[in-house]
Amino acid sequence: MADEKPIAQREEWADVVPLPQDDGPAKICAIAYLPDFEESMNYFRAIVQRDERSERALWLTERVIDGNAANYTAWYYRAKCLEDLGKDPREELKFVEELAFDNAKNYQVWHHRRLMVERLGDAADGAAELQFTTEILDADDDSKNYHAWAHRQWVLKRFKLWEGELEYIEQLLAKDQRNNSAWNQRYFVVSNTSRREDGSFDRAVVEREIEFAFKYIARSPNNQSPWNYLRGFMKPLTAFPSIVERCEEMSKKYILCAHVFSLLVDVYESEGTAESLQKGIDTCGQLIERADIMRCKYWAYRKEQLEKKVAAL
Amino acid sequence: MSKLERDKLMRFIDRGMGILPARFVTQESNRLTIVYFGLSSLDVTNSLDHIADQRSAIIDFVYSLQVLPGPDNNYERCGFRGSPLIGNPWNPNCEPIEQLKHDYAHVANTYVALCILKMLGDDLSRVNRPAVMGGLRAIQAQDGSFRAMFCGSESDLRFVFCATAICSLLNDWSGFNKDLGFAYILKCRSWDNGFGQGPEQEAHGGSTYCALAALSLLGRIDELEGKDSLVRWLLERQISGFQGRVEKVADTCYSWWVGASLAMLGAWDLVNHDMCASFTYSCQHMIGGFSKVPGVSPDPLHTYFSLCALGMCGHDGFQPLHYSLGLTHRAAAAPTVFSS
Repeated sequence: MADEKPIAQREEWADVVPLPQDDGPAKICAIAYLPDFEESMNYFRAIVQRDERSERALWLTERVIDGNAANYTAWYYRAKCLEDLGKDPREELKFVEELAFDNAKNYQVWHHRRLMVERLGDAADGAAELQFTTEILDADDDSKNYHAWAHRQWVLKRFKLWEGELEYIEQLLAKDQRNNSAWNQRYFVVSNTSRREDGSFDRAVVEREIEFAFKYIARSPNNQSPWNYLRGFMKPLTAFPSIVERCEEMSKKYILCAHVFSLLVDVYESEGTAESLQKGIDTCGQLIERADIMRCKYWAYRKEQLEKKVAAL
Repeated sequence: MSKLERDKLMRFIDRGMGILPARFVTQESNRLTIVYFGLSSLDVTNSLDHIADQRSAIIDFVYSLQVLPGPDNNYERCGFRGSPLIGNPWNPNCEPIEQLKHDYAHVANTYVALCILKMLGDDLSRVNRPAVMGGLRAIQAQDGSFRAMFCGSESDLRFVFCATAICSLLNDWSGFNKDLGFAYILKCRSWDNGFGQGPEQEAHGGSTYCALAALSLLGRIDELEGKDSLVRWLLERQISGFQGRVEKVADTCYSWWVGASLAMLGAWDLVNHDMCASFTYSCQHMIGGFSKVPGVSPDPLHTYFSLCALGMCGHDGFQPLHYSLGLTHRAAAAPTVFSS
């Protein structure tokens, strides 16, 4: 931008009186704008007050966004110009795409993208949106980009593009099984495609998902994600004795793994018999002493709760 | 280092509230939040006297950002701006002036505006409460969520929290449909017990804070089911400091989002305070202030939340915090024209 002519020197802008920003007498968190940027903003303010939605106004919004992609006024005004000028949202999607990779965590960019997709209505290309989020998640190794996942979920539901999503998630987990966003996405897909009419899951689905979680638990017992996933389907805790057995086996081998002991405490507490509660108390002891020292105060509290339950039997 | 470098901290805060270099331009729209982080850092560390001579200038600056209703008394745009970037003239006394076109309040900036005023002991007498309420009414969606501005933005739990805090600070809930808001909060509960930013989204420390603070301000935190599981989810976020999501790295701001969440559920005592403080100090920068992770530049946001964390972990002389409002108790209790 530095070697371009200042707007003030351009004939086509001669009719516009720039409107400066008034920060008041004190400079509280005032930003020392670069002169080019300040000039763009002065003209932008003027154009907005004229309510002018022309090609040059559109050009100006791009210039402002270039200097500050988080200026939500510029994005909002740009959206208005695009509408009034009858611009094709598909072209705008390309504009957003170019910006998105350098601004992947910018709320305004994602909101604008969604707006353009909504404007296309039935003409929108859901598969292209999915592909876009795939590329963002792939870029810069940021497979946990919260905005990208939110957009992806919105696209999947809107366009019903469930086919292939579980595969995609497995690819991500193959790269990084600790990608909790991918685990959340799996739950999202299963929840939206495999519920019964009453909202519950078939036992077959439950068992399949539990096995899926266990596959990853076996590979890396200290990865919390599959343990949470397991718990997400293990309802009630007392209805899965074979899982409990497997966990008890694991607890003999992985004596420093907090997650296996933590789950066992909850299972034993749910079972509620004198024997189970005592097992729960002992397991809390193991967590306090070695498996989850970080949370020893919490496990001491849990142990106390279990002791109270035993006393009340 | 496990000692607060107070002098460097003060200089860092001063720089953060003065003239900022050009690269801060990306924070223009939300400049008022930077003021909030700076002043809050002073408030928490009992150092507001540091800016005593700027007090009325800051108050005037905040009021100059109030979006006022026009002659037709249309409130939908009302509240506070984050900055004067729209070109609004200097108007600290909130005189009725000609409305600017495309001038909209932003709910997060309305929230921090009220916080700043309370911290500085202003009585809120220049706040147009019916207008602010009208602005909130206009940005609540059918599903109970809130967007940030009437002209449009994403709609999620962050702004639900801001709206509840605004209503609480102004002692007026007429702009907030409580039942719809409550229902939306519950819809954001994840299968793993935390809260996501929106329904079905990944559980996140920041969203969980927003949910719990909003529920707390609504007086309905006791209606939350599975509190024990939520406490466990929150406690499991501690890996030294706190992570914001399962299997991510620790970041100082989550000591606040997750820590305050635990405090609101009565479980802060179960946290490993020493490890939390230790991690926080590892993020104290040699130029002063705190960063998100060790070894990167400090910033006002992470500085403020780090100070909150240190206070919660028992640092001497820090002000006790009102967890759901995001203020010190002292600031929260400061009387206003709207106090009951």
